[in-house]
Amino acid sequence: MNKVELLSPAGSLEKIKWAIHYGADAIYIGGEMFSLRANAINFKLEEIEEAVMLCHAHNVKLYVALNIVFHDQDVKELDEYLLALAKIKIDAIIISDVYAIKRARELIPEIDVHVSTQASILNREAALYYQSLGATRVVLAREASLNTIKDIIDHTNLEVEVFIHGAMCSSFSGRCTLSNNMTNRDANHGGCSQVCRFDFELLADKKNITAEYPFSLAAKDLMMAEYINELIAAGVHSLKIEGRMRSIYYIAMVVGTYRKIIDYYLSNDDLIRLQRCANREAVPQFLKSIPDEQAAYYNGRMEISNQDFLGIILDYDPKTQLMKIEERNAFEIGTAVTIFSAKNKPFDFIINELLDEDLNPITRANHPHQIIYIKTPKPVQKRDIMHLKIT
Amino acid sequence: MSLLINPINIEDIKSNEYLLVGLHSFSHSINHILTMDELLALIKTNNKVFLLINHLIDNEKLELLNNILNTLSQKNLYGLLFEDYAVLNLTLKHNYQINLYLASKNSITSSSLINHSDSLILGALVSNDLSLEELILLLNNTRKKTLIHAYGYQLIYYSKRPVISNYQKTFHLPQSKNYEIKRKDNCYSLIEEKGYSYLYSDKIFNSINYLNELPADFYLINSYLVDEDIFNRDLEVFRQQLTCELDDHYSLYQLVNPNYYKVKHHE
Repeated sequence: MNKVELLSPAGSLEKIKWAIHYGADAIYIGGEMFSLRANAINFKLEEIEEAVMLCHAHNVKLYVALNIVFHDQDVKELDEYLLALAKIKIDAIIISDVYAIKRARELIPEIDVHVSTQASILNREAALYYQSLGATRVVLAREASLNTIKDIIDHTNLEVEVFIHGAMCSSFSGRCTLSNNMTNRDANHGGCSQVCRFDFELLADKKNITAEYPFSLAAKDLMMAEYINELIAAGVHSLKIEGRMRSIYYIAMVVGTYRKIIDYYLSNDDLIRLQRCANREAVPQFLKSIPDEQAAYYNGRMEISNQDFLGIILDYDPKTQLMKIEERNAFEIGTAVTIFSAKNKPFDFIINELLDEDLNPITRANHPHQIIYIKTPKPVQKRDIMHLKIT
Repeated sequence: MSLLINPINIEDIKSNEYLLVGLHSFSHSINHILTMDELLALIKTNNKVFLLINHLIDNEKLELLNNILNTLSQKNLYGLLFEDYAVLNLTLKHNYQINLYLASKNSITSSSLINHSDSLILGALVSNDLSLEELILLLNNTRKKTLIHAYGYQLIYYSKRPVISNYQKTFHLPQSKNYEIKRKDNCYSLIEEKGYSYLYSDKIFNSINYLNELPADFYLINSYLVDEDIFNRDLEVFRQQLTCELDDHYSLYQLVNPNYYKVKHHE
């Protein structure tokens, strides 16, 4: 069985550090040019260089997304950017535009080319076409079933990457222009405004038949936690987490949990943790069947909002057993909490004592980013996460 | 410059015009989705037929697709517009003799992509999601044949999710037909067919006022979802425009959806 890669998103250098700490084997980011997440904090070239050094120092690979569809004026700047990326020794670029793929193979053959999910690859012949262009990996469409994934692995020499967690496009990715049409922003050029999550009235024969919650095209998120063993057995090379714009909490929880599932086992707590960390329900989507009504999202009916994320552990003193925490959501004496760690098994305890930054006793931590000290029953580490105990 | 028409009635096509049709299981968002036998019969008598294969193709359909391409090889099909690169790969692999045209929705956005496409590819159906200036630049820079969307409702959402059925099941709504979704007084036709869902622009896209600026080889006129009277009226306007017989009063048509030709790329 191959060693599968756990691939994390990151929207900043700080998030890269969290992804590395929680066990990512590879990280993908967007550069300032040609990235589909125009609203994300994308990386300048010098930041990408710093990211490469940081990742490579930890034996982690770094991929850069250039996954827009290129217009004529973009093409003028493509060559220079590709050469610059090769010079700073990124490990791969993620592209869907066929011309950009060809140009990358010509100009920087030493850099791997991964075909983006925007190419909507759903069959082995399309995958073979991209292989013939020199692509080394395909990121399959999220509509691909397990049988399709297996077949493409069996009939090509490509590495196959599959999304395992995160937000889903409702349309085929790369084939949607809702945003262009309704908000005048080009979805395939970095401007997606997520129109699929808007509320609509549904009309039948011009008559409004909208039910108790408005009609929406939105899908629940993707979660493949229960199928990781099957994906690895099928020969999937890389397991990808969506979300370059997500928080460090999300990265820690999702990367950390999947690291544990890949390396050890899946527990019920893992499933709950993955369900809760993004405030949206998540299901396996297309892996085993066409998504039914249980995979659709109608606003107001099923949104889960929580304040599970309580704080980040900044330091720990083994002599006093005090951990130093930067607060995110309020908690108080008596709160049952869990410490989630990249290195150790999660553990629970009830907060019996709270100290402020000057070590004065307090009863409640109210302010985000407040520094708090708490005595813990077990040692903790920097970058561990404290969240509400899952019940 | 020619009209490529997906008409309401095939017999309305004139001898100097090109006809666009689809194929069962492989085409959507057009009228006249034919069986293979119907297609073969049509191209026996008409040498100006384009076939549109615009479904993304599931692995399970590859064998059928290969049989179709094999059958169409060296036949009298003027062109095959394709969405999924499986079509190109099978054609290359088996050396089929078919005139291929790129038609990947939304992604035909640069002249470089078209000019550097495989030699088998004769041209491309250009994306509509370009500004007018970008589209003119692309058409001027492209050395292969170009087709542009000139008229018709535009597909804006294509999904493998049965979104109407899922909503009906969730809220126990009765089956109906002719669905639309509505937001801010704009209504968009929503069609669910064989498990797939398709959503179309609220207004008919119509580039009649820009044709003189857009030097494409083919202007695609699509009748899908358009009322017959309106389609016939507007088709006649295009015919007159191409033959320079257009009266001034047609410039009063303000039919271009304002969101087309000026999409913002970044906020």
